[in-house]
Amino acid sequence: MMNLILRLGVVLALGGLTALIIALGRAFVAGQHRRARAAAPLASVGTGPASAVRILAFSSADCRQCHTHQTPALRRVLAARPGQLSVEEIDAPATPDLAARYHILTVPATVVLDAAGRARAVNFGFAPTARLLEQVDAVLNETMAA
Amino acid sequence: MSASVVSPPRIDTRLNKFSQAGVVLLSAAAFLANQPSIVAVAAGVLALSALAPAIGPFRLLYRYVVVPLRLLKPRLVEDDPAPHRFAQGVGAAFLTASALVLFLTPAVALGWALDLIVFVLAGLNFTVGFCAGCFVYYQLGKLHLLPRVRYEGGFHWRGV
Repeated sequence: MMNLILRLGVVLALGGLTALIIALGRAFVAGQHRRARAAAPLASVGTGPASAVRILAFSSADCRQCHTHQTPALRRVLAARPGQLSVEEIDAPATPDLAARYHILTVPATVVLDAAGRARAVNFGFAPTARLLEQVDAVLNETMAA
Repeated sequence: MSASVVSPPRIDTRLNKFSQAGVVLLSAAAFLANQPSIVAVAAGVLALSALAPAIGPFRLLYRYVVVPLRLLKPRLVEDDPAPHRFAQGVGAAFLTASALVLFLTPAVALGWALDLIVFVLAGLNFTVGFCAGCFVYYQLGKLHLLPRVRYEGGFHWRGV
């Protein structure tokens, strides 16, 4: 009986420790997210007039989800708001400075920039069409109100 | 695997969750009941799932009992099954080592530690979806020690 209680204690302690590690991991990601949004404004790299909204789409050659899910989702967002935004595909491993600037931990990752180049939303991992549209519209509405 | 695959590879995430829950329960039950034989059973189940997924006991139970009873509904997502199989193989290796240590040596603590590592990692995958075995698989791929999947416009598999 004593033995069983001891073993139960070990299992519960391990469960608690795992939960603690998960909580710490989530806090770390939340911190990276905050720092990414606080990054200095990014100047437009293109020659033409800057779009009201720019999305930086971080990807890599090995990233299956980027190509099967994120790219089609971004295409749908582009189609839904024609002429109002541009998407810049960025190879994260080949662009470490930009990846570091937005504290990119994983691909796919997307950064929604306003016309001034300020990061308005950051998504680590796959961002579905609906969420991206919401983030884009938030910037667009503000631009129109201003 | 041929050069081009028409439909993207899919996995059933519900089946994966079901297997992970099974591994969590078996590894915890073995430790709580102090029964190395349960570790051996779990090792066998995972080894079968990794080496012959079609006859993996979790898969059979899921397909012929859990799904028909509508306890869970399949949820197919595009993903590469290879890392998940690799992860199951790693789990099977740990549980096999655990069972061997528990049966053949007096190092009880080491044996149960190996079992509990699987308990924690399967629990982590079940709760937050972090698959430690897959992580190792991708790292080995980066070091060119394992085939690595590369996307090049269509579904072309490199090295598989």
